[in-house]
Amino acid sequence: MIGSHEMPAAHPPVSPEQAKAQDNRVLGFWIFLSGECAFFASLIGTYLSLDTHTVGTVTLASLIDLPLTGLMTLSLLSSSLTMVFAFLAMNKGELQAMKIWLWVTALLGAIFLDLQIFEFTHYMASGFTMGSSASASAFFALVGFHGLHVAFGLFWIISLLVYSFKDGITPANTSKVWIAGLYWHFVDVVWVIIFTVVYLMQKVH
Amino acid sequence: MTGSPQAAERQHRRRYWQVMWAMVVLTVIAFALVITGALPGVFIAAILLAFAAVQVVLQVYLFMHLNVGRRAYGMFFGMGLGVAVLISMALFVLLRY
Repeated sequence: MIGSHEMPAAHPPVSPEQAKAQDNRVLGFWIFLSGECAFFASLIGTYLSLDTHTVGTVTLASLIDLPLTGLMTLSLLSSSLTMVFAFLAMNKGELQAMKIWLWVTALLGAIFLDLQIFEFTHYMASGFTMGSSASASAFFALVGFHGLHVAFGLFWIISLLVYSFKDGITPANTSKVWIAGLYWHFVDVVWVIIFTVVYLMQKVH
Repeated sequence: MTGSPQAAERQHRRRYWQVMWAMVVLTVIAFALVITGALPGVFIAAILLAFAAVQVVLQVYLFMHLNVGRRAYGMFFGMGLGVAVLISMALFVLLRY
């Protein structure tokens, strides 16, 4: 059963079959997430090895603005916390509170994406583009794919909010929120690695 | 083990806040170390990697509820992480040297 590992769900699954189906869905999602680990590992490994292959004077280290990265990190970190709060509210059967927390999560995700778009346009205006050097391509591939994941998560959460709670909190939609939550936290985990390995390390001498 | 569901809920909520603050503090220290350059680069790099590892464990274990989920979840994810480390190290060595 999905919510019951930790505390009783508002509406426990109606049948053992349903509980099993939900459990398998979560297991399947964990397997998907291990695949995602390999995906991001390839991009991170590529970035790390092409790190020094720069062309011209515009380098990543000269472009990175740590306060901006800090702000992005803060918005994604707090969106992880609000996702947990949405989940707690769902377990207590509080539909309205859950929806509000999910909207806050989506809003924080949107702030992150907005800052990233701002960052990328600034980089590209400075001559640091996908095609300018091997290091730049690897950077945009890695950070861009992470941004795409955030955008997809945003789309996911909003579509849940719009379509999935017309009948209130039911066993069928609790596992949907659970899985969307897993995805969102995973995207945050990837960002923790990216801001350490890509952003902070560039500034360490 | 706590008695009432309310008490358990409060305890969970407090735990999540603690995790959140721990992550914020680690992040702030990491940024501060890099911005001030207070230590030699090698030490800062080592500390940054250690902090990232702690944050990943906190997030995956507590926010993603691996601590209470089925063992199979953790086994699959651990496998994924293992493969991830191998892939990134292999690519790093192959492409760089």
